[in-house]
Amino acid sequence: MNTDKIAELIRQDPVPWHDLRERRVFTDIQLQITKSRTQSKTMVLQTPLGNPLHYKVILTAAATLLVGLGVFIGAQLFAPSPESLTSDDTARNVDGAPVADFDSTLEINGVGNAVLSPGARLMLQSENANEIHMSQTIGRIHYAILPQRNRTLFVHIRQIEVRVIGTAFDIDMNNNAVVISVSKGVVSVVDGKKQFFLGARERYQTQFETLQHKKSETEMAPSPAHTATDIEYQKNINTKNKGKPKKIQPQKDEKKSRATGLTDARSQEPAMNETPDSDTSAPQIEDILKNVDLARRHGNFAHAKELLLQAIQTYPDDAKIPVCYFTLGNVAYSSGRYLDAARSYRQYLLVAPDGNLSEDALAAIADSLTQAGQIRSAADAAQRYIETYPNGIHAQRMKALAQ
Amino acid sequence: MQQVHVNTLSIDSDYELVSRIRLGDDDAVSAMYRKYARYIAAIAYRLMGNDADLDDIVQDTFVTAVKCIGSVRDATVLKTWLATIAVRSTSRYAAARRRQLRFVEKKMFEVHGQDFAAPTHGDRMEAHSLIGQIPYKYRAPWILCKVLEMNLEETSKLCDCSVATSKRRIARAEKLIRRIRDEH
Repeated sequence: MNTDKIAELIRQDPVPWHDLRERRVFTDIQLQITKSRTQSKTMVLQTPLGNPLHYKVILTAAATLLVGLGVFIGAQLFAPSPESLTSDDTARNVDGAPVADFDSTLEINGVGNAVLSPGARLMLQSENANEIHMSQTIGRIHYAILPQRNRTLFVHIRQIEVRVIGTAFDIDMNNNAVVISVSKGVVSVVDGKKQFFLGARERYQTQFETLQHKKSETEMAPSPAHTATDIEYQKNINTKNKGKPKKIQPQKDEKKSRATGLTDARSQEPAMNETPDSDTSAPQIEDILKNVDLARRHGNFAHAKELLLQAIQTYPDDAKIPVCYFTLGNVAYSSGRYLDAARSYRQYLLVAPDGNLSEDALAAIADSLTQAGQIRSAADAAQRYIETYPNGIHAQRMKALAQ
Repeated sequence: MQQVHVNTLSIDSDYELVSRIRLGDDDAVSAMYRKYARYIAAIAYRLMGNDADLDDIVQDTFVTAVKCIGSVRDATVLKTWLATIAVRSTSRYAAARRRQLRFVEKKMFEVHGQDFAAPTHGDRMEAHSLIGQIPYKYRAPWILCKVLEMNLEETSKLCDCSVATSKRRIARAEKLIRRIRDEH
């Protein structure tokens, strides 16, 4: 009998499998499946019984849970809760009583938290369903605002109003000055007649009237516009070039403007080249702009900036103020202060959203942010340009930038 | 007595079968059993050489399949997957059977004072007896390939080994068959 014969014999042997056997086996299968499903429901409790490793895991987890519970209870017992600080600190601040001498958290209902440094004071001015107005009188306070908040928070610091759009910022205030630093998101600042936005990592510093006069005396001949309000960026303080007039580089300036695709305000605004008004008692905005133009031609961007700030402060309601902001952006860009430039272009868009230079301003923001190394923000700005001006003169460049 | 109910639901697609069993559909389990029980029984019977453990092997195969249905990656090879489970189950039963046989042989030797050989009747039983003496790891690929006429690729898949190993084991099984036959 060879192997093929053996295989053939085995193959011929019929399988003893019939319907009755099939049904009987299936009954057993059903029973076993039902049993296993019932067991699986209690498997969590039953499985570890036979395995010492599972005991170890369960004991470790239980110990961790107990330690965590102990820490939580201890924190609840020995640390003041935000609610107690809220009522306590608010009451003391409103009444003018001594403030906390340690960092304390004030929960602003429906908005977020304010972390008060020692000595800081925060008072509630008014509130309704949509808005809550707080007044910071002294000290440093960090505001952490909820992204999904129910109400809009306004913080008032003397004449300055900060409307919170973003999520985290600091206000450091003393008797002489106030510094608003944004760490996350955006806040809208209204300082007198000026209104602008502060983005992440941007800072606004202003000095109060008392210091302004003192500083004016000590600095002998300061520009009123410059001393009254000095807007600066934390990342972009350039002390080396401050006050040093540059060489005359008109060609380079024009070349740079062409390279960045920025449109010079001089060419777009005929008022800048017009003759000044006959009334010479006070410098008219046209005169100031003419001087700005002259200063730029001579490469004296610092002086141009001072003149522009003076114009903005002196004639806040003038029709040429948007052009001043745009020119300020161009000056900052030419000086290499790209973040400053982007902010000035934003201010232009804020005061003249439908202005003749809006398209250029939007493109210039993207360019400035690119130069500043903020690629993601630049891409966002470029995307906004594409959405607003799909067939604009800068569209092709903005598309490349957005990508 | 509990009424035995084998559902007559007809599900042709293995993919649908697997999907419904995963969702806990008992009718799909019944349909799968009805579709492949005979095939699995055939494999188990050929591999074992007797039907003593046939019910248990079929039962184990399908219970394991229902439990582990979530691990099926390719639902179109459900038949092969079931066969693989059946071969593994048969392996366990064959090992247990072999241990029992050794124990019986030992006892019979003690009683009768000579080697005990199970009585065989006819060529078919002799063939089964002959094959039954080969170790399972050589017997399984030989039966799958020579008796059930599967190709080498299927054989190797069911035996969890490479094609080369399957070939080598089949050759080894034939060599063992010839040796045992010559000894008798």
